[in-house]
Amino acid sequence: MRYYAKPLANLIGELSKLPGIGTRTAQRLAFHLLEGDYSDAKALADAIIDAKEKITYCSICSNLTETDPCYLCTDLTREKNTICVVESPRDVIAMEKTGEFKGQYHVLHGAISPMDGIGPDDIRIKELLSRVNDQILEVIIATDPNVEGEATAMYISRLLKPLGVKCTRLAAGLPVGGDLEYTDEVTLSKALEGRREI
Amino acid sequence: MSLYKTEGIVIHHFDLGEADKIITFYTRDRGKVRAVAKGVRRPRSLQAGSTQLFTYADLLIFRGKSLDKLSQVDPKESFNMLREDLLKMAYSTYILELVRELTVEDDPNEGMFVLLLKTLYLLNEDTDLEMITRIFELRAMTLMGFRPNLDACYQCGQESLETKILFHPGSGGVVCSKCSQEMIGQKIVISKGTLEIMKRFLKLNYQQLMKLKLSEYARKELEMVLEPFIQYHLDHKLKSLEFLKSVRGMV
Repeated sequence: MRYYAKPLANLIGELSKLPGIGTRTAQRLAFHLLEGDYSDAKALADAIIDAKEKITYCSICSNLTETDPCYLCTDLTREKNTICVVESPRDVIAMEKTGEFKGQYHVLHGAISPMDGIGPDDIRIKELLSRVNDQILEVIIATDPNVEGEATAMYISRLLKPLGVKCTRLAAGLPVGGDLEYTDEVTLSKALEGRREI
Repeated sequence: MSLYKTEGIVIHHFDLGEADKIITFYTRDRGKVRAVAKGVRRPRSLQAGSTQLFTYADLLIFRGKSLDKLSQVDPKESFNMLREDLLKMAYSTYILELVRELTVEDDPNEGMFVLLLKTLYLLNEDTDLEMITRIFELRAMTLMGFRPNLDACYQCGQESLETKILFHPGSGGVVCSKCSQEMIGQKIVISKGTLEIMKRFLKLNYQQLMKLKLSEYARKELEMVLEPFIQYHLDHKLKSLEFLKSVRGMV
């Protein structure tokens, strides 16, 4: 049985492939696009193609970029001697929002997850190693504080230690504005471990 | 309301949607159970820390129509050392993957649960990770009904008097040299000493086992036997094995 005209069914099918969008939402979006202006639909379609064609990986830090090398790698005001290692391009944005970090980035595009078959060779660790030279004073490992992120951090630090580079790990602990009594044991013991003098 | 209480160990998790996860637990009285944990990928989530791999916790789970939902989780032991030491982490993820692959959902096996918990405690505290893993492999296979036949030739029932013994993963045990000629597939030559160690792994209790000191030779042979034996029964290679080997190579 056919409910929709072919192009409409096609559009709904494509939209429902997106994360978090089921057939119902896809149907709503499709009707919204059809009812809207031609120019809006064209702009959306163009933006998708444009992003897909122009965005590549930066040859230095592996971040997503329009120009190669990316604007963060070519920025002369940024320090060249620290590299912050993150799991995904979204983490770069999160770090940039803090405004605290003025060094270089390296995006791994994933974390080591042995059970899912993601080993060290499946993420961009080799690219990081080739970047580490005498000028690099510190590598800050900012992978997620879960088992996969910790494993990745430990693996990288093992590789970097023999090169004589200082390897640091982001602190883990209480969230700002949080409540001590509702903090879970693991986080609290981490916070206690990483306490500092005031 | 169909809520049930149990205790379990987190053996796997994967992301669901924007902020949720599906957690696989190995529980004491219900075997392998999967449950959705809502919102655990948000930084403020109270359950985030307690749903990490290896965690042993008291659970309150809501029995849903299709998927169960994790309602409360109260950690009893988080096995911190397993996350802070790369080698320990590699061995214990291998153990978890083995449990996940060997078991099916909703098939209670308390022996398996106790063995897994004991193994994680030992990996967390002890140093002979390799031996703990070999004991686990042998005992887990036994619990799943694949106890290797170590006493006499599987085919003719004759007890071997030779110093070199043949192990045939396909028939799940030792075979004498005469019968082995008719069998297809890989056969592994092991010494009598290694065979004796395997028997002890199944017989002794952990207190006695942890006093054992294995020679380099026996370790090699045990790995040579158990890896193909497990692989034969699972029908595929475990994904975490490669990582374990690469980490072992680094040390």
